[in-house]
Amino acid sequence: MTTDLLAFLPGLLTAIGGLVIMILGAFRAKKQVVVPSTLLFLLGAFGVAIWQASMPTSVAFSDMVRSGSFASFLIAIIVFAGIVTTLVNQEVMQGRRAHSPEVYAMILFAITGMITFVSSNHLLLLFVGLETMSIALYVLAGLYKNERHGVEAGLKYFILGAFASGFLLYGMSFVYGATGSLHFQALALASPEVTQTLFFRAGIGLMLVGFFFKVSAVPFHMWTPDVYQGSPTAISGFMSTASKVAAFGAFWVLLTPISFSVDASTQAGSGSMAISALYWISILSMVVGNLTSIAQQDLKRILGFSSIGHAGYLLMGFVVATPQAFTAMLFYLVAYTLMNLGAFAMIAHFERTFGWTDASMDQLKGVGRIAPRRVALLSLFMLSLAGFPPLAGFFGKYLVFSAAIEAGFVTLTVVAILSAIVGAFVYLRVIGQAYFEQGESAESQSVDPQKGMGWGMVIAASLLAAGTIHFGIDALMPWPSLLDWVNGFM
Amino acid sequence: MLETYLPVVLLAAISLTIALIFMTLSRVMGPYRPNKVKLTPYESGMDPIGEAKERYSISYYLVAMEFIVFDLEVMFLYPWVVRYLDLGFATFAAVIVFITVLFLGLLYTLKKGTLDFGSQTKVKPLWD
Repeated sequence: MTTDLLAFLPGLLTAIGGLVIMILGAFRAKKQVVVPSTLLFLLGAFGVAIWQASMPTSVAFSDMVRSGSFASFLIAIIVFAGIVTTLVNQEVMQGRRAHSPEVYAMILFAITGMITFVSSNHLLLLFVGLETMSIALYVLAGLYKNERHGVEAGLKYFILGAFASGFLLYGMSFVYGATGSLHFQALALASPEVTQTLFFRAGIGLMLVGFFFKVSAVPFHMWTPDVYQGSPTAISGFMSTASKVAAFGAFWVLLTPISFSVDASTQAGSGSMAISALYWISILSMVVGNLTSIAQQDLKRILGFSSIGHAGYLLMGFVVATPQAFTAMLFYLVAYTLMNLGAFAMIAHFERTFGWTDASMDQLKGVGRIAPRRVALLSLFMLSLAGFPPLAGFFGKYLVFSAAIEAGFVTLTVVAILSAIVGAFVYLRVIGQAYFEQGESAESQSVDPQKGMGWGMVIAASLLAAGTIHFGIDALMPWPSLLDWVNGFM
Repeated sequence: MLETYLPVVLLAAISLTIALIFMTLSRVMGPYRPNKVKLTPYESGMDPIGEAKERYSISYYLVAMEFIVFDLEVMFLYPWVVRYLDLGFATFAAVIVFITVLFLGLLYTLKKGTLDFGSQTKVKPLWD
C-alpha cells in the first residue's frame, strides 16, 4: 500500500493541491495565498519526480501504474511546464474577470491527469488520466467566456475532444476484444495471429485517431489554431506543451512494443500498418503545419500551426522507432516545451503590457524599439523554434533527423528539412516585424511601455531562456548531459 | 428449470393484486374531483406537452447534478457496507478518502452559493 502510494506520489501531491486550492478559493482566499500554495505543491511534485527518476521502472497498484525513470522524466517536464504557466499566468491574467483560484485548481487537476496518463500501464487508467487532463483543459480553454474567441475555443475543444475520446475508447474495446487484456505488457506480447486480425488492427487504428487528435497531427489538427487563439495565452502555452508531452510519452509506451514485436516477426503486421500511417501523418503534419503558418496574421495562430509542424517532427520518432529516435524524441520534447512555453509567455506578456486586444502581427510593429530586451527574449524562443544553432530547438531537430537518416528514412528527412526551412521563414518574419517595421500602434499606446516584467515573469522567462540556451550546448559539455540521462531509459 | 421462477411470478401477481385493490378502494371510497393538473403524468413539475425549447431555471440542473453525485456515492457505499468487517482497514481508508473528496466538492458548491435559490446578487470578481 505504502509503496503503491509512493510510486504515485507526484500525482497525489498535485491532486491534493488541486483540492486545497479549490477550497481556498471557495473561502475567498487572496491571490497572495493561492499562487504560492500552487507553486509549493508543484515544486513538491517536481522534486519527487526528479528523485524518482533515478529509480528503475517498477509497477504499482496491481500492475496498473508504472513509475520510475521514464515516467518520472515525463512527469518532471509536465510539472515544470505547470510551474512556468502558474508564474506567467498569475501576472498576465491580472485584472481579468476570469482570473480566479479555480484557474490554478484546474491547472493542478490537469497536471494530475497528465501524471496519471504517463504513469498508466493499463488502458483503462490511460483513459481516466486522459479524461482528467482533458476536462480540466476544456474548462481552461473556455475561461474567457464573455469573448467570442473564448467561447469558440472552449466549445470547439470540448466537442471535438469528446469525439476523439470516443474514438480512443472504441479502439480500446476492439483491442480488448482481440487480445482479452488491457495491460500494456499483454498487448505487447500478443501473438502474431492475434495482432494480424482485422479486429486488432481496427482497434489500434481507432486508438491512433485519439492520439493524433491529442497531439494535433494533420488531419486531426483543425481545432488547434482556434483553441490556442481563444484560450488565455499562458494557458495556450500550457496546452501546447504539457498535454503533448503527456500524449507522446504515454503512447510511446503503448504503441512502440506493438510495432516492434510485429516488425520483428513478419513484415506485414498491424505494426507496419501503424508505422505507414504514422509515416504519412508525420509528413502531412510537417508540411501542412509549416505551410499554413505562412498565411497566418495572428501570433497565437502562428504558434498553433507551428505546434502542428512540431508534432510532425516528434512523430518522426515513432516512425523511425529506434533507440536513437527514442532519445531524440525525448530530447525534442524537452526543447519544444522550453521554447514554445517561452514564446507563448512573451506574447502573453506583450498582450498585457501593451494592452493588445488581439495578438495580431501588426501589434508587434515597432515593439522592438520600445522594449528591445523583451523582444530579444521572444526572438530567442522564435529562433529556437526555427532551429537555429546553438539553441535547444536546433539540437533537437539535429538528433531527430540524424536518427531518421541512420534508420534509412531519407525521404522523410528531406521533407522534414524542407518544411523546417518554411517554418523558419515564419518565425523570422515575427522577429522582423518587431524590430524593423515602423510601429504606429505600439507607440501611440497610452499604456506605460516602461512597465517591465513582474517577478513571476522574470523567473519564468529566465528559466526558459536559460534552458533553451543550455540544452543547445548541453551535449558538448564535459559533464553528464540530458542525453546521457535519457539514454539510460532504454 | 422454469419452476425456479415461481416465486417471482407469485410476487408479481401479489403486487399487481394489491395495487389494483388499493386503486379501486381509493376511487370508490375517496372523493374524486379531477382537474388538468392532477391528471398530468408526473414530469418534474413541467408541462409535458408543448415546445421542447423552453427555458427553465438553472437551479434545476444544479440540484440534479448534486443528486447524481450523491446517488452514486450511495451506490459505491452499499457494497462496501455489506462486507464492511471482512474488507479491512485499507478499504476503510479508501472509502474515507472517497467521501472526503465528495465532501470537499459539496463544501465548494455550498460556499459558491450554487444552491442559494432566489438570491439575485451578481457574483463579484474575486481578485484585482
